Amino acid sequence: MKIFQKRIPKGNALLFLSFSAISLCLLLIVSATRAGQENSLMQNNIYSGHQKNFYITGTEENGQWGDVIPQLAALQKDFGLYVSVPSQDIPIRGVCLQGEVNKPPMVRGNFFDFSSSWTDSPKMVLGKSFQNEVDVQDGSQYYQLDGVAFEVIGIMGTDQDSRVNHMIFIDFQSAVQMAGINTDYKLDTQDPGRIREVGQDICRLFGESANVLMILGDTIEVPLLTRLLSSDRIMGTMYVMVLASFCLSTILVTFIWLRFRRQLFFSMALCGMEKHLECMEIFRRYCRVAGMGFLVGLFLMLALSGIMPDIRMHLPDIFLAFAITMGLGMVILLFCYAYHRSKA
Amino acid sequence: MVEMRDIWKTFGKKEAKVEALRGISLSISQGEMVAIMGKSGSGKSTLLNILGGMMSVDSGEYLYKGRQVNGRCQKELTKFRRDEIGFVVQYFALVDDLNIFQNVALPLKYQGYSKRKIQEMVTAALRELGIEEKANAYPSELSGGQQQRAAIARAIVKQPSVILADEPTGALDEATGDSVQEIFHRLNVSGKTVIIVTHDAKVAGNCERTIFLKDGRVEKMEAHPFQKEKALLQIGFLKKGEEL
Repeated sequence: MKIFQKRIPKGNALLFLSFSAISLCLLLIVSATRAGQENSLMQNNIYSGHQKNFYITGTEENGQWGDVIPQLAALQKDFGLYVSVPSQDIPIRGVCLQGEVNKPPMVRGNFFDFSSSWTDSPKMVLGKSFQNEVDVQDGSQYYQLDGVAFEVIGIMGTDQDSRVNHMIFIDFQSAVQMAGINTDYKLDTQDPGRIREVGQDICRLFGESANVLMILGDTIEVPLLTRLLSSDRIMGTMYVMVLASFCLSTILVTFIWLRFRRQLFFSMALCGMEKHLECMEIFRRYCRVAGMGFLVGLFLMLALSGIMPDIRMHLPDIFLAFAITMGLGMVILLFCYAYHRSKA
Repeated sequence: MVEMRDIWKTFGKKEAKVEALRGISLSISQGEMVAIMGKSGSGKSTLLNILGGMMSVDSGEYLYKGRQVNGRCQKELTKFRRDEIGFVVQYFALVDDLNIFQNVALPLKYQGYSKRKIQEMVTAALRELGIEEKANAYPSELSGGQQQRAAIARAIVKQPSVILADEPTGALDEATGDSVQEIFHRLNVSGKTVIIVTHDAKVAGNCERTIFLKDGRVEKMEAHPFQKEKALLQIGFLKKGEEL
């Protein structure tokens, strides 16, 4: 077969089609996973869905969190504490984050981490509808709220209009100052199995100094299969299944591709080409085909996203899919090539 | 130039053990054109592969230009093959998806030659073999004879001292085979040592010497210098009354 006067080697078409299809699948799944996560966050008000409410009553000292949070952070690596700040028109939420608890989609800058969410200096992440109201002073951005200048560390938002575009997140200490300690809170964790333990730690750390009312309930053991096929995990499960089928089909296709390269191996051996140069030549040829396959998969994906507005591509998704496709491809080639050489 | 003493080579283990070479000793001088003949399984190709550094020996001594080849590591054998040997095989071993220019340039790839130098060397080799105009063609677009010329061009592009040919005319018709044989004579006259493994008595008859192998041993050697002169007369390298 000749294309543009260039002969296409046997096996290359197979490898190319394989990588195109796999890249398209990966890009679709990465995009769908991200969309699913964002939808889930939006539906749950930027909570995971398994968050718990709790109330603090009977104390007048706002600073009590100052004793609890550092100890809690030393004990637990995955939690998010949220407190709503009463406001007439803008939903304002105070946040203290430890670990990778749900974060909203960002337009620029960063969302809170532990050091920025538990701090003495007021910090904030703004919804993108407020970004034009930001003041710039000494290279930093500030936003005035109740007479306090908050440093803006990031702007969050989605392409389509959503609640998050009109929300404000502020650091936990500022929020407690504004809302008062005797109010309702939300506790969230990335891992649903940890929430009970974190809740118990909060109650224990407050001890007698405040009434903490938290209904944690029992941890329900969900069977593995049900968990894997649950609506919030199904994309992740599919992702793993696609990767597994990608590995198996790529191993097969790579072996076929190497078999078709036997004449090249023999010719290189006759010419006295050293092993590392032979290896380099094989990797160069493989990467070229795999890279072209990925580009075609990406092109198809972009075409699809043009036709279907629900499918949206983000640059990090493309990089992630590229890294997975090429990384796994290289590992598989290395394995197949080593096996092929040992049998040669 | 080439000296072999008591070379042994065995394949397989235990019951499946096959002794391909059993104490081969021979010597080949620089500029000589030698044929190796024998039945299938007599050890011809194994001997050729050892001569070209494609295989190591189990025991014995192989000297090339007075330096020991046996005992060298794989890397050194590859270097030896790259610098000293040009291989030609029965079914050409050209890479289907590379054009003739790229096939001939394969031994020069990654060797630090400039593009211009590669262009010069490949063009010179193709010109020498009379297939310069086929540089952009793919192997499947050439006749068997032209493919074998391309394979020979690839073997000589780095100007090796020795050409090893394994049944170079085996896949060709008689007339094309004769023209390929003529090329080997030309190369030989230009100073290269040519060693041809063949079944064809006619090809062997045109060489200066034939080494007959049987069951991995040298059965006999026949020298026929006048045949070579005859062959050179035929291809016009010598005129009547001239001597080599």
